[in-house]
Amino acid sequence: MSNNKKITTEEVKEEILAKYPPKVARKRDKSFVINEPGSGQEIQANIRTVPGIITQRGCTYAGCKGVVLGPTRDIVNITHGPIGCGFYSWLTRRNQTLPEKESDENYMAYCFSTDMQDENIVFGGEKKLREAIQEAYDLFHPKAIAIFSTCPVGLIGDDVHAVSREMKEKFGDCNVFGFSCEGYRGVSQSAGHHIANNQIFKHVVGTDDTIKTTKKFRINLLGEYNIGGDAFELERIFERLGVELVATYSGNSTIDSFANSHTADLNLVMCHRSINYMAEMMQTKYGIPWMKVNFIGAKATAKSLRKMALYFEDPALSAEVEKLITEELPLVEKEVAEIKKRTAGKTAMLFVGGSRAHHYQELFKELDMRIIAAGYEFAHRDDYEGRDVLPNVKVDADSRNIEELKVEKDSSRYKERASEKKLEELKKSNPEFQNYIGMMPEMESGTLVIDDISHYESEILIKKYQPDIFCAGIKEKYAIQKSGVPLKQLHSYDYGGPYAGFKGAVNFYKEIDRMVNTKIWSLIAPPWKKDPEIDAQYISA
Amino acid sequence: MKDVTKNACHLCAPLGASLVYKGIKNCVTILHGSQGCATYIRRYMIGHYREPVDIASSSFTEHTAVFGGQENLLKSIENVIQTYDPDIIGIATTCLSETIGDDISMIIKEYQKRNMERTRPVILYTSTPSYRGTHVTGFFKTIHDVVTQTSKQAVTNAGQINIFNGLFSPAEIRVIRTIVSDFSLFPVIFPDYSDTLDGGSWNQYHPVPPGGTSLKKLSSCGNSAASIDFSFCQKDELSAGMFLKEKFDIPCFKNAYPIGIELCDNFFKTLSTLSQKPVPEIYTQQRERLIDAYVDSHKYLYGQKAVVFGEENLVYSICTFLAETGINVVCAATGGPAGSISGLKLNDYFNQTSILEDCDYEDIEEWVIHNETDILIGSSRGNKIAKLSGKPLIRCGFPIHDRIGASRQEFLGYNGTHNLFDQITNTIIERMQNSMPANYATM
Ligand code: SF4
Ligand code: SF4
Repeated sequence: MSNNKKITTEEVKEEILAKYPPKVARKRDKSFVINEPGSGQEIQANIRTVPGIITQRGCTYAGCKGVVLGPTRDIVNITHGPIGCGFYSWLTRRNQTLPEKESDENYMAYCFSTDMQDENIVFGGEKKLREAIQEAYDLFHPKAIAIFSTCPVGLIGDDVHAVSREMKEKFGDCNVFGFSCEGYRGVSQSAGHHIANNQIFKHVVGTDDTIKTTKKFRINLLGEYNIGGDAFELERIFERLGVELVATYSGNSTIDSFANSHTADLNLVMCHRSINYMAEMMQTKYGIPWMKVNFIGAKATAKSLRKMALYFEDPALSAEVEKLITEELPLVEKEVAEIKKRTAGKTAMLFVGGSRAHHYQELFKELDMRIIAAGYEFAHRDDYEGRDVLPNVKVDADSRNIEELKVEKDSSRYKERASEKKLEELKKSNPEFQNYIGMMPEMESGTLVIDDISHYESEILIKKYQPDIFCAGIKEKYAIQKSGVPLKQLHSYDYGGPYAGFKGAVNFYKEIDRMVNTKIWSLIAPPWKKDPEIDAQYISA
Repeated sequence: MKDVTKNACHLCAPLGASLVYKGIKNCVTILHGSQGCATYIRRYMIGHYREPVDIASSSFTEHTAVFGGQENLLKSIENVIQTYDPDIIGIATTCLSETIGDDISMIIKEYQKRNMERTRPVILYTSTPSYRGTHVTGFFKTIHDVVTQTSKQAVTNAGQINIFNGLFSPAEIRVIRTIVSDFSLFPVIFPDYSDTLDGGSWNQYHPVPPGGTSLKKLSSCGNSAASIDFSFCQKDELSAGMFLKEKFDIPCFKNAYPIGIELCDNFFKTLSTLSQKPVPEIYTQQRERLIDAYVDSHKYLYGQKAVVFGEENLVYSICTFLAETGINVVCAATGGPAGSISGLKLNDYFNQTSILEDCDYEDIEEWVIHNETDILIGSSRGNKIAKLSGKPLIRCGFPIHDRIGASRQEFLGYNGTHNLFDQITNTIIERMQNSMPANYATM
């Protein structure tokens, strides 16, 4: 495409911003970074979406009920509000669960709602909520019932916490707790994650001290939601290594596993954004250290496992890890070698989530593909720039709105897992021990990093860069594909998966091969075939 | 009303509004409230239609929630204009803005005051609190409200009639258009999302997908000679056709969705009367073929027990059609309000049909578990019941998230009925075949 008019990334950015009213353009400008690793760039993130700009983001309620609590199978989740909020969050995230026995409690297929009506809005909905909780209790006698507030509830002032307390006392054998996760409370889903972390920490974690395993190594996996069966693949790996997974937050999980999770000795953090609060609070209260890991990508998986082994300082475990890697990695590499021939040099964009836009870059790198632009939907600055920026992040009205729990050492349950000295050493040898270094340092210079990309912006990017694949969610899928660019859904995986671990990596390679190399795209005559504007090779070259 | 709704059989009102706005040419929707509602509703519609659906939100903050949403709405109007340059902006409220009591008409007046020089876009609005309705009432109310805000009367155009659609698929809208045109009538079809929600691949960029009823057409509603309005199970206050009747004295025919011989006959008769033309031969032939198929398949269908669930209008029409085929509707269920189907003459057709109104999927599941059933007909949300009971589910209505082709599903008119009929019959034959010990190659 040598005869293309070449425009620079800078010009693309300008063109996009030019359409906005000046105030909006100034605001968006700060969320648009042309990456220069090591230069201390700042990106604006976790800031309200401008009204009228079509965003990928959902609401606080979605992050709380849908993302964090959704995958736990044995809590009866009741949405307190009018019907839509509950309905739309009913089994749409494809988090899978596998009860051990058929008789085990499993409410995943249900969507409970108080389906508020006019009179509840006018006269208050607490009475209806109380009756709903009672009905759910009578029907199922569950271990736990969780109540999620939607926007109107906050306004009319229903006290879901008081009602929960009252019902919990009344039942005696059922843990009832509420979440003030009204959609408007925060900037995005992210606020809901935080609220979910808080309440689970307050009401569940640490309520069961029994150690239920004889295995020597006990860990929790945080921020893994078992989309498309990812957690199953990771469970397989830990099982092989003889490592006990006390709790996964929250893919394929049960409330009992949360209650017990303070007995683990290490927290592995996958999705930093949604669960770092839990990791930090567990460290403070129970003394469990955490480390950031990434099980997306075969090499990343191997690396993460090695880091874990390093922490436990156990030769036998290290040997097990090496054995597993030598057995599984070559098979993966054999597959990728073949597929790479067809994917090498192709370009990808990822605009998704709070960690996936970073994690999935690993898999594309393994396919020798180039990431030309990426961004998160609901992340904060530390997910882009690394946790080092935390002291400099401004606390605005929206963040203040979310409760920061005051957590202290638990006098009886706190246990020092590693000496100060060892922790310091681990930090030195592993930059992601109790730390996340963020996405931007790992992206090439000249690539675009955009926070909370809008519908309009993504269409312009497609037009300008013509990437070979775009990763986002179902809301973007059909708009992007209309223009002849395949879109891989990284929320629901397009009904595929798992993509985590070794087996998952192979699934992903095959999927991307299928998507970027199908002949279907040649049937579509996209606009740029007629009027090419930019050569994608130009950037980051 | 029960205390806890388990797996609701209805969705929320602004979804209906968004669907209607997708049926207006070059229109962008703004949902007035927090952004989650817009995102959820987009997600849900996209899952069904597999097409782009752009819905903006006025993105409330806690502050907005307390002090009112005027500034946010004004800002969102401005930003939508800058990025999409639409002819029309369609605003619908959500539960939050309704709870606060924001007055949209006042806010629009304020917008107009601040932007006197602007001639476009035209701003339309509807009020759709979900604690006072469902996606179905939201749909019809929005049609009604749009028509009340746009229609003008000048001179009656004898050949023009209004068609106010029900919750039809894009393919069905195309069918309705063809049928009406075949009577040499000029229809104003509204809403018309037949292109916007079932478009082809693009060789040109479209900020807003092409297609939809134009503003010009909408404003000419008042000139039509008559209206056919498919809000059959809805109260008259939600009927755009009844509004035009009141206001401009335009005759209104409230028709049920034309599925099955009787209901199609009603529709074709209406068209024949309005056009003063006999039913074109292609349709009389389609009708005969459908009856012929009824005859051929009666041996498989007679006495089969069907459970039908979904939106009230669709349930009513499908039940009426099934009665003609010999299938026995043992249970008709809807998430619509009490009275939405029970007031109709379903029990004249069947001996004993259990009618569940304002019900959820768990009620239907309970019913299926405790009663004999052969086949389920309804949205893809019935898949849990299908799996549990082992009964086949014919997917129709909204949402269909686990099969492709929802946009092309065509069950209206004689031919459309024939599609549905063949699907039902073949499903039943397949079950019979599979349950027989011998391997019959001929059924
Ligand atoms: S608040 Fe109302 S409009 Fe919004 S999703 Fe919930 S039910 Fe629908
Ligand atoms: S009403 Fe609030 S909680 Fe419900 S979907 Fe909308 S933004 Fe989310």
